[in-house]
Amino acid sequence: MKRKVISILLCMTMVTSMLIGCGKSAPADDSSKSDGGTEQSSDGMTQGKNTFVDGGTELSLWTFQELHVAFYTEMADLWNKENPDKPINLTVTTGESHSLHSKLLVACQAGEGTPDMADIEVGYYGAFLKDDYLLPLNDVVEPYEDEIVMSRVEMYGKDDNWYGIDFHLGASVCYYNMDIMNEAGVDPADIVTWDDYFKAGEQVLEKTGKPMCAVETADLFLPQMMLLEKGVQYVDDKGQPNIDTKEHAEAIEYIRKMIDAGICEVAPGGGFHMEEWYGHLNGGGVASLAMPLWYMGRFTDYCPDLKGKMGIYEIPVWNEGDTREVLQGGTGTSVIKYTEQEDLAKEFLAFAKLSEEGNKYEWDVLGFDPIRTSLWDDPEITNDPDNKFLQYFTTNPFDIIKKNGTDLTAPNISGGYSAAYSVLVTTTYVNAFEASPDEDAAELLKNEQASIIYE
Amino acid sequence: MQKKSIFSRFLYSQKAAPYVFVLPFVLTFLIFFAYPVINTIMMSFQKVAGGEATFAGVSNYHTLMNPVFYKCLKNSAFYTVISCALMIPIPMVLAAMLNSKAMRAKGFFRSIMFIPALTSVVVAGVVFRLMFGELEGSFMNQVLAFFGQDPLVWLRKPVTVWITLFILCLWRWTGVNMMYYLSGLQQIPEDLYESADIDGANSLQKFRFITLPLLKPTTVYVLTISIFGGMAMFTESYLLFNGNKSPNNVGTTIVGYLYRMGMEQNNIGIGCAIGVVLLLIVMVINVIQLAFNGTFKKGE
Repeated sequence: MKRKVISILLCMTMVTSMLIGCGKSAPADDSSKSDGGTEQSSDGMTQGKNTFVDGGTELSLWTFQELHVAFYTEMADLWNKENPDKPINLTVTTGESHSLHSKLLVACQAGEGTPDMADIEVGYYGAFLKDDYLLPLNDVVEPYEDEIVMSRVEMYGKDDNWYGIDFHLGASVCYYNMDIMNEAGVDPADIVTWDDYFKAGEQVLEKTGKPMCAVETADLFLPQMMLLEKGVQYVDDKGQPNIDTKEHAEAIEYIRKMIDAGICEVAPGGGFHMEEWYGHLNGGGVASLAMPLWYMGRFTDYCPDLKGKMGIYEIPVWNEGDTREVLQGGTGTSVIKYTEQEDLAKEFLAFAKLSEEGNKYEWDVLGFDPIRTSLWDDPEITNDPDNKFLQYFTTNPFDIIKKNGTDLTAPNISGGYSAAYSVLVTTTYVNAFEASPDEDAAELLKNEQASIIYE
Repeated sequence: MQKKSIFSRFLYSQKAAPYVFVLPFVLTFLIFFAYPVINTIMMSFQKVAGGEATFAGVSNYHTLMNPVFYKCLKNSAFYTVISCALMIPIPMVLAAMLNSKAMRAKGFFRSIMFIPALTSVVVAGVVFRLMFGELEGSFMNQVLAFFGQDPLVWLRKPVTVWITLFILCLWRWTGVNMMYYLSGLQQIPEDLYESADIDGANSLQKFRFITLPLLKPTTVYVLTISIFGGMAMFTESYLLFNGNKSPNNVGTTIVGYLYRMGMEQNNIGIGCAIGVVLLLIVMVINVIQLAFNGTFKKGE
């Protein structure tokens, strides 16, 4: 009898110990009430919640940028105030960008465990769009159509459907270090074409010994800007990767010419988001930098020494008279197709990203150039003396946005863009500017094109 | 006598008991190993998109015949060969030193060597990335400056990339392999050395003719795991290059390429094909290696 009891006990221990591994541990915080704020979840990801209300619909959102958490939770509170008939209880989860995108993609492939909404960075967007994991947002965007820059929304789309809404316009501008410019005797306002920029660069190099600009090998902002100015994309109209173009070779040759002349350097760290680069930039190691306006936040965060020294001007173009603004970078927030709250998620998303309140928050706190044109003429916004971004820079970015209007070229990120992007930032620009700078650009692009895998 | 119930007969059966006891392992093996492997092989012949899989023949394998994949194969093979060449002799000698009676502060050195293995690769990778930064102020460039050398761009040039990867590998795994060798050394009977002493052998001869042959089982084991570890290397390269983006694929490994294809670019089919190729390579190498070392011979 005793033996039997012991053996049964042993078997039970064995079985339970096996089951423990499979069982999902119950969530520690199961309360439907929350006062907002952030907390650490078990797998190292941070969560933020809005002030939960009774009877609110649960919505979840994933973002890779911690700064976006407060934006969404604040917008959710505002939504609940304005829409007491359909309140939401929003949980925003954030984690490291790369792993969060992978997790999201795996969840989408499995069709389980996806959030209702997610921020998807532009380089990853194509992978999600390709297999229809996202829901079209046309019906919620259309009411705002006349108030926003539509090319920013259309870029997150295919077949006349729009799937993502961005935080910002992402207008590319040229940031000049005015100390260096003054020392060299160059007025950035006089620079119109790339040839002007080149000449100014020679002058800067001669007078100060510093390079005019830098190019990334681990990202693509400068060559992409040059291409968009020419109206050329990395993918063709059908979404097939197409980096082997005459214009692309020209852009590469032009940057090489600048490198050979010593007026352009390969960015320390290989990219404009590296620790090495921030140190170099903050130390006044480079005279200018062409990046989108959302890069203002990097200046205020990482380059405290440049406060009051940086001027924002229009980007150089190929021919006089070209539009001196293109749209670059970005993050499309989308509703994942496995959501059970399709309508509510879409409505909230459009409200957060396209409403006047949302755009004001994005500008004031995150330094994102508003996608809504109405804000461009609002002196409370454009001349706000308390705004940290307007305080930091010597010129007003809204002058550039207003001047260039709303007919702007945005990158085509559909189809094979993710596949092309991956090749461009791992091999193409490394080869072009660092590893084999003497190889013929057309030949190089032909080889690079052949190594893109997209089907 | 009352007939026992099926349950109690089963419970006391001498025949069933062994199977019941190995059942947990068999189940874990089937669910977490055999099933995924079979599924991976199946998916490698499919185009998996949008939650649906369609049969695609060998097109995934055909896609793999591209220069980038070959480069990753070469990288992984190179890493494996060099890391085996480094990670067997060095820990063996260190272990022999720690095992020697003349050695002082054994416990101290043993712990020091083993501590890196306890740190997370993630933390180590990030720290190494910063140490091998390209600015003058980075740790390694300061070391170079101390010797009067110019700063190097460590992580964007092939030679220095490999130096960094091997330093990381040595730093992290020497202690583990050393532990294996220490336990191997402690199993060698003391009297062998004593009789060698009587025969007048010097320490080098003792190492060559006693220690080395008797450590063979340990060496075979370390070699096997090192080959697998080398071919499957991913985390180090992923972290050193800030997210799988090594410039010009200098440090992209097979698993890094698998991750890029399968996870980042949503081509699960191709990812599975890479996994199958990797499995085949590792299996073939290890079977050859084990056969060469006599593991399959009977009576040993």
